[in-house]
Amino acid sequence: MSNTETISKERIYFPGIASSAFEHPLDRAALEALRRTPGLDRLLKMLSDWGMERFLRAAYTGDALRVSPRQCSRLYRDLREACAVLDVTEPELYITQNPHPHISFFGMHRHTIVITTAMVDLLSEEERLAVIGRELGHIKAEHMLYRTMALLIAEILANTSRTILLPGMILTEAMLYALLVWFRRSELTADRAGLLIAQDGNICVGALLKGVAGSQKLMDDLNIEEFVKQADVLDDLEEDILSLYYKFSLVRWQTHPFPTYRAREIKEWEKSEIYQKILRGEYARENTEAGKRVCTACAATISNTTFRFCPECGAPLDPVHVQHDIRRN
Amino acid sequence: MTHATDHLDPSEARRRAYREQQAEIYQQLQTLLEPGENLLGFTRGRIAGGFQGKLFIGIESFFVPYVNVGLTDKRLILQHLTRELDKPSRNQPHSFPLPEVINIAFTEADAFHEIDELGRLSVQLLDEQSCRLRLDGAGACDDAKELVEVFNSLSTRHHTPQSPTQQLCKECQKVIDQPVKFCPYCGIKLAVEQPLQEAATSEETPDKPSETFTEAVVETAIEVAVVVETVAEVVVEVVEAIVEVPVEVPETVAETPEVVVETAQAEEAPHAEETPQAAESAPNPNDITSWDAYAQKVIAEQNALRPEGGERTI
Repeated sequence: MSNTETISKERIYFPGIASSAFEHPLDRAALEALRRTPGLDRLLKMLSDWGMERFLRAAYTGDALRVSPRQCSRLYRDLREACAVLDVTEPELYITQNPHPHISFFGMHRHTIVITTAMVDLLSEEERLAVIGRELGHIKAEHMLYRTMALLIAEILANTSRTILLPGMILTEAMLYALLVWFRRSELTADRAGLLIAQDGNICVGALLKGVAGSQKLMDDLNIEEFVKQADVLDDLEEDILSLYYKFSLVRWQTHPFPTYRAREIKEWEKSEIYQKILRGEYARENTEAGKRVCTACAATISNTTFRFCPECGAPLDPVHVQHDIRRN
Repeated sequence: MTHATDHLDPSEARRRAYREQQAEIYQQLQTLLEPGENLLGFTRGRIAGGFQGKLFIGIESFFVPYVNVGLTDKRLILQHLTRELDKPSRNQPHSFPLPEVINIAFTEADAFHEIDELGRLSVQLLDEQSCRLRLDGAGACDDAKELVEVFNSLSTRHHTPQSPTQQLCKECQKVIDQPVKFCPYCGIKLAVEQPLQEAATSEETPDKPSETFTEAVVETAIEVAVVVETVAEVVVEVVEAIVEVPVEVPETVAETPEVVVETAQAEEAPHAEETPQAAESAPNPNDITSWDAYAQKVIAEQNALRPEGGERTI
């Protein structure tokens, strides 16, 4: 692995893709339950826009670097590319000076991604695309909105249940634990989004690995396969009860799963039939009109974006037109 | 007192012990097979994957984690073993139909390569589930590697398009999920799909006639040459009978493909020089009324002289 790679490979785009196409099954179950809650999502979006979003945007505009076509244009191109692949409305991107490699996002109404300089320095261009893709996955699945909704509901329930002392405390703890389990699953959804953008499992795992133990001096000496194997070793620790307890206590209040597990999940999903089908252009769509093309020879309508020839007459098709500029929020 | 095994190399002793274990695994798995089902690969391992991994297989995995793993042409079988590993447990075995198994992979588990005897077998299933096994011992690891190889060769068969609407482009090898006239990936015209069984029989028909024009021409030429050779032999015999001297057969006729003319060759060439003298005892052509009748007479005489008494036909 090195930092000298350039984005050269031809990517497959997924116009109109719905987040349900790549959501982790457990994440999807929680999201679907929350999506059925009437009205709360709109209220939260409005409150977020008036409150935290405006505050943080003001803070980052004053204190960080906003990426644009004229400011760090290479990074901006990465962002546009990632948005085009996953068909996501372009968020704002800020860089902050920080020695800790980190990337995060905020916002329900207008989304914003914040990446630290250490992260930019550490990753190759392909890996940077994958980590931006992860955040776009969160945005696409509206995790921020639904996480906030879930926390709000949990808070209300916890406040009411505290009145019944011990059982109430146990209930609150259990609820929080369940929510964190879902948060960890939603990270796996985001990893899948990253894979859809990078379209190479090794790149995604490489980015994770560098986040865990990336050192500029060891960059060419990192072994992805061995890192993935660590997940199995971690599983083996559950053979004895004490290790099982320690592992549970480590992960219990975490919002992210162990990176080794994430790496293994990425590699497994890469081999899965679902991922292969998405690459072939068969995926759930939120916009059925997106990416549709009409054959100039026989006027047949083709919805599969991976097709290069008309299946009816064999005439070559125009490449899928991806609209970059009009999608900025 | 010394035993025969005292001088055995430890690795050889281990190998022998594993051979016995292999026989045991094979025997135990055979009891689970349905009629017509063949065991193609097997190994023995311990269910891993932590708490969730065991729970996926079943509660019994916490108590009887050791399993025999068998791969047949239809499914992957996990047969629980008792704690002593000597016989199958009373728990029901688990089986996964092969079309539901996406991938089986073997990986070496010992990163330090101090003991090359620890491996992992991970089975990935269609419904985003996976099952992991830990393998102890070089024999189990070798067997697992073989099992993976067999699965990989089988999986191409199981994961080829099976749905009636799916087809495989022979040019670009892409699976096409909808009925189309042209391959949407490479643009070539797709042939009308033949029923799979029909296509298979036409390919496997034995002793099929020549498929290409060249082969047909060569076969015809050989047949013609054989006929010509036989005719030539008869004519030579007739003429020899008439002139009572061996006749040199022109090479163009004699050297037909795959035919050896048995008549006079180089050895008899000296006799050819005597032809003028021999010609003196030849019958008078005027005595012969019909050449055909004369030829038939000569053939009849020769057939009568043959020791096996077989008739010669043209």
